Amino acid sequence: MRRCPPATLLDRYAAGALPGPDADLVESHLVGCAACADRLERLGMAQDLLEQLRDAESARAELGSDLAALSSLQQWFTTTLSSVAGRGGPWMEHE
Amino acid sequence: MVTTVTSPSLLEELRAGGNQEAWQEFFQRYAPMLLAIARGVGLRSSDVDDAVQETLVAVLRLFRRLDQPFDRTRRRFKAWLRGVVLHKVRDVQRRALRAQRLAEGMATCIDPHAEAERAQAVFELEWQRNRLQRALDEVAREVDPATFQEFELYALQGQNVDNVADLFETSRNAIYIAKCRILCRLKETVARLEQEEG
Repeated sequence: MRRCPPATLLDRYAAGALPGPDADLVESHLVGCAACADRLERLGMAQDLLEQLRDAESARAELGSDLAALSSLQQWFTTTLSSVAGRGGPWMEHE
Repeated sequence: MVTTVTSPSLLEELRAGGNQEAWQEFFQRYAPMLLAIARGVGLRSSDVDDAVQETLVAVLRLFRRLDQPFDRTRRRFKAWLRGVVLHKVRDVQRRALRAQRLAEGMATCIDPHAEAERAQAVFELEWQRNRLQRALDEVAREVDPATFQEFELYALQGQNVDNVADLFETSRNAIYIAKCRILCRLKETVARLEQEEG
């Protein structure tokens, strides 16, 4: 694709709504056209999703910093599983 | 943490007996979320483990009893897990409050309705975060590692596009394209996970 794609085509590409061959054509144009690549970025697609992702990643990092809590919980879980594999541990008796 | 089994197949594997690997997978997927919920509702750190352990024991019991495939009850798994974890959290909260009253010799009041609403909101937030993280992990496994790193540095961490392009010896255009491709894939993956939940 030598000529710059119309805005609607770029919108559909950004939304992932173009069929494969058309998307490949737009993409091959984007690789060599700085103006269109900048336009694509300015569309600001999926901002909500990006914000949610940043929030989720930051929450994961916060929790990951408390490795001791997760690690001791995992140790407990592994022990509990072993007792279950041995045909039911004490936790089953309260059922 | 990277997950490797899709939700329905994991639940079904657990129902069918669940080997250690499947249970560890379940732990990796849900334990961090349960911890975050217990903390999010304001449990003291000494009480967080109790709430999470009691929830996990309830999950183990459920799968021991389950005698029909889970694939038709996926929606109920989320609702069931929400019910269990919030119930366990409330139990632990009440026990802690009773101990506090005894120790301080005073009446401490909480509004149960407001607490329940807050706990529901915390659950929904953490469930959504968990789903997004799973989607992100899945996409990270599917795409070229360098492309995913470019996305992480530029789109998630907000680093300067030219710096990222230099680091990976590529163009600014390629970074924008990588971001667009990965976001599209993420949207599809999140939609699929939502559908699988029912």
